[in-house]
Amino acid sequence: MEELFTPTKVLILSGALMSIGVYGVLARRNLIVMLMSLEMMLVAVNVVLVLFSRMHASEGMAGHVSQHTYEAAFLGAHTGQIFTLMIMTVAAGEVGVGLAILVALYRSRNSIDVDQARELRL
Amino acid sequence: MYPLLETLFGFDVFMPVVWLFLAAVVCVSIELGAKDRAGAKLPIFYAALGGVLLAFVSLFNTWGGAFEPHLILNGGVMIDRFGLFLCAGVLIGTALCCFTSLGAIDRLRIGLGDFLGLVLVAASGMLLLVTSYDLIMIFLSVELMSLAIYVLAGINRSSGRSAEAAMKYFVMGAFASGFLVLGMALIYGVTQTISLAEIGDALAAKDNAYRNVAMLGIGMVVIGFAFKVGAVPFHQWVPDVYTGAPTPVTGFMAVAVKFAAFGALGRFVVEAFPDTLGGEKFSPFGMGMFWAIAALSMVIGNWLAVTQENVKRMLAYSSIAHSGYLLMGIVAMQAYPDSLGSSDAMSAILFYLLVYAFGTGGAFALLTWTATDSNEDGGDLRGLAKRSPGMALAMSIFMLSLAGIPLTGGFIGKYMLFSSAIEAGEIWLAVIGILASIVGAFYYLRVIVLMYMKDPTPGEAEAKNADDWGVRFALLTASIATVVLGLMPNPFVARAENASVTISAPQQPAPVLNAAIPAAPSRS
Repeated sequence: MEELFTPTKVLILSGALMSIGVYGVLARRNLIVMLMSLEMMLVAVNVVLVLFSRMHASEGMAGHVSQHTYEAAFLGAHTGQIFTLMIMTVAAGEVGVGLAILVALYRSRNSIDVDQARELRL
Repeated sequence: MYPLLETLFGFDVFMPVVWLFLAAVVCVSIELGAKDRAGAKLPIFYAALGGVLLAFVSLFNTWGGAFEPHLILNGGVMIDRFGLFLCAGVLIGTALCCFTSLGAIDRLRIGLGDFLGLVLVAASGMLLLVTSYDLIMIFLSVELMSLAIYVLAGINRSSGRSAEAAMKYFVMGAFASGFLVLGMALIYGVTQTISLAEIGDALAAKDNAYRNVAMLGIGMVVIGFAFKVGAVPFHQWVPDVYTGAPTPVTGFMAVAVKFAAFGALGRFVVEAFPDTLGGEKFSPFGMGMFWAIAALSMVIGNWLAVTQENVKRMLAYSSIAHSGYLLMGIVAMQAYPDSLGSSDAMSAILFYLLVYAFGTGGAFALLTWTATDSNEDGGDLRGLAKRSPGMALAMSIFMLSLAGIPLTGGFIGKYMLFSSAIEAGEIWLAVIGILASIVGAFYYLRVIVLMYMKDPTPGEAEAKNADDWGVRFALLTASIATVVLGLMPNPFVARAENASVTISAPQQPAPVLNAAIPAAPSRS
């Protein structure tokens, strides 16, 4: 049976997510949409990391017979997935801080349009 | 014998970080439990300062004695003198921020405990950043540092400018982190490792197609760091954020973040870039990029600083220029053919960071002191010498040091940086840098002229903050340190050299202490 997720397809998916994220941050002026786009960039990286981790695991874990070396190789080969978990955690914290800043900005000028925040341009 | 105990206490923790975290918890707890905010100020201040001092003492303990670079936290953190020197710099910046915020906190309408708690958390992220040795650790500590500083930039909730600064810093910083982490993912994908030391070797062994992907990754990581240090063309956030953030926070950002980001960038360049690639010394790609960023930062930073009227904004542009000088050191480090020379360039970077920390930290401390409710930027230095001669003298010392005038630390630092660039053969970059710093001397001296030769603005409050001993102490320490670094630089230069030898010299793989699991066997 043909494999559903080939590396190429996954890379295309991730590239699309990253492009949408970058476009959103650069082109949209609504801070909430920009926050969503920033998260989408991190999601794209997560997809890439899981793909790489899977590719490495399939070639890295062959040939380890004893329990001990197998465990070490298992952890070593799944570094990418551990990285993904870390990124998801950081992304959650980032959204929290971002929304707090958004609320502060909205309170001070009743708008979350970043183009209206130009008091500092002297 | 006791497996549980071994698991609990077997980790070789990095004590300075633990002290800072504990102090942060104590600060926030005192703030929560205190009945009156004004009475809790001093205990909170002493708790924060105690944490910084304990961290400093444990740094000294690690530095002295029979010292071998070693990895802890299962290879995530490298304890070597390079990292310890940078940690000391970050702690100096943190201590300066503690002293300056003591009086300024009343203007921010927020408790000192919340403020210093965030500062200490950011500082612990910086300590981890300058010692981190794998990609996950770099990413996590960059985020720990940045998230705390985004909040600090916007901590003045009554000011729209503070919120705007926080928003700009957050969007730009998170955007940069996205690229940083994408670059890390590409590096991991090609080299199959996250350890900095193994990345370079793995790259040298790959064939061209894979290597280009990894080069793209390295470029993205460097761009991420360039955002953090505010180098041209990734500098647009710097002036707005430095101006909008409360002044003690700006000082902290300018000093400690620069220390941390340059430390991590230097370690990344030394460890993760392969020594040779395809039989040649690895440099053209990395050097071309750093060369352009360094030259642009020096020229554009100094050029735009000249046109500024607001002193705080002028200092923001000047910090871009100083990033350029430091990046010139990184170019020199790569251009040297031997590791001895590149360790010279690295020690010049470290010494310059130290000088810059006292100069810029002191200058922002003075702006904190002159700030009033109506003028948060503290920009009115007109005739300061007539109002308070001591303060004007301190500010003159900082300005002379930042301009690189002899008898101050700035001269020695600039001399070391430029001479290492020239010895490395980067004559043109050094010429650009020298021309740019002559332009720079103009706007620093203009501040001195403003203070000494103009009359004070009528109605300016007469030494309103005279009882603010925190800022006075910070200014005194910073100005003495600037002069001492200029007159007797030798002990500090020796320590900087000592620190950079451990990282630049070709070394044996560092032993991993107390690894929870054995290191994975190579999967080649």
